[in-house]
Amino acid sequence: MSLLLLPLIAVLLASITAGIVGTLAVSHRMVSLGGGLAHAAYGGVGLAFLLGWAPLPVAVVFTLGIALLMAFLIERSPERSDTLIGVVWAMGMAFGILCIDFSRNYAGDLMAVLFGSLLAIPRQDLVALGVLDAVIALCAWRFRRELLAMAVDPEFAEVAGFPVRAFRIGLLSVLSLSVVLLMRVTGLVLLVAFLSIPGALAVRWSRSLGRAIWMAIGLSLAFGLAGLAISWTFDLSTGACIIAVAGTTYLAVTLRNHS
Amino acid sequence: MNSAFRIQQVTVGYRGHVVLHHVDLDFPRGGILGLIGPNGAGKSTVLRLLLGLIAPQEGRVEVLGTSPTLARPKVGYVPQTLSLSRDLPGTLLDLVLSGFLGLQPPGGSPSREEYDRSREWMGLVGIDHLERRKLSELSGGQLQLGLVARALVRQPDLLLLDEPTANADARAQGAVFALLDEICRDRTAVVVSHDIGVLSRNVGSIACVGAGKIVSHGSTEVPQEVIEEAYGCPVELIGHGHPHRILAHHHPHDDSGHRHGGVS
Repeated sequence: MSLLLLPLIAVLLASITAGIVGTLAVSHRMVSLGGGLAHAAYGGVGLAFLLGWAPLPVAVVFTLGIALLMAFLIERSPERSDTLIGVVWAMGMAFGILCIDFSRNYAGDLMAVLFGSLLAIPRQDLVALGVLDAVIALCAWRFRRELLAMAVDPEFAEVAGFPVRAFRIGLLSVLSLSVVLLMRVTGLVLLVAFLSIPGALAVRWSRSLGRAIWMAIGLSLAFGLAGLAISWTFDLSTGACIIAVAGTTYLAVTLRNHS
Repeated sequence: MNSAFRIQQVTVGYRGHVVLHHVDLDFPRGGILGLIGPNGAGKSTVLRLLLGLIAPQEGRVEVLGTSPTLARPKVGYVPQTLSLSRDLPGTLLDLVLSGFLGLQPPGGSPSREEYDRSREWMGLVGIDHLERRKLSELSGGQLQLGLVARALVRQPDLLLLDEPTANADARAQGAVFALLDEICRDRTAVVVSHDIGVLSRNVGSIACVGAGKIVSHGSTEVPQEVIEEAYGCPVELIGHGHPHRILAHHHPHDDSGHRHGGVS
């Protein structure tokens, strides 16, 4: 049981992150941006690997930089945002792979970054996740009204004098931090599904942003625990099991609604 | 200071394409101005100029005696419903309450006064019984009335409405304009619409935007040639004691390649 204690705490903390940030990402149409950041974060991990530094702080700084670059390009460039996201997505990964190619270190640990390693999650990652959860929960509660108004009608929010750009950059920063801190749970490759599925279901079923966030936390926890149980029982990859449970639920609900 | 807004020799466009070229438009405080014109003529661009969402390449824009950005707390804006994300976890009451955005520092719950004022305006536009409905459960007309209420809770001196009756039935259209008529005794409103019939029945002045210019401004009696110049096609005005309707010429044997179009 003691072997499972840290993974259980990780699932709980990751569910809070995914519930809050996922609901906001879905509401603000930032899911593909989250996917782009998750893959671009691999560049930070590769850079840390090349330099022989701890991956978490390097990946945080690298991903935040990429997020600000994306925000700048999306706002200023005439190019469609999905094209820009696709390019940065691939370039981040390519940079990470090249860094690892140039490094002579053994790259075995990088599989945990790509596909998750919940059972071997370091304690300091849990502390960082806990701090992030406390900060985003406080901010989401305090600014829930503005966050909803901005999601429904960003142009009106801007005209009304609300600092839309500052809040958008804040959201992007939170998304970047979440992506990096959740990478041990589901892995960078699968992370976008863990961020978006509970939020998408909760947004569909709720009448207020607050309730949607609570529901998304509950769904994330249910998916996480079910995935962990399946992974533990059948000796399978935990991240993939969590996403399989979440994805199957989402598809079943979506197909049921369309039938 | 007696102008609600003043557009002087303004040229504006997007990515190298000029939409309005050296236009002037001045409107006094009080009353309703209707803006008509074909698609892409620049009606919404005029609103965006007044809202400070785009800056003129040349010329000057003044709103309520100051710059458009500084005037924003005193301006109410009703966008088209198409620009909204409706599939979100929010109710009609949440939408109307968001009208207070920017008037108070961000953060926290709405005050009792904000709830009361929101419900009062929802009652005045006839949608108070829908306050708990999700935005996705509202019809286009109900949502449009919600947007009008959201703009009015700000108690604006200038109200800018982009196609406010596009999805509304005749009854809702009447309700919106009756309300505008009532509140514009001491306020100013600018209404963008394709429907010159609805506008000419309900507003005091009409400006016609077309071909990069604002080609008419004044009464609701818009001359036919002005409309034809703006729309770039032959039109027919039918008066007969009724408000203006503009219809395309019927040319069953016309092979001249004239473009036809119409507004009713």
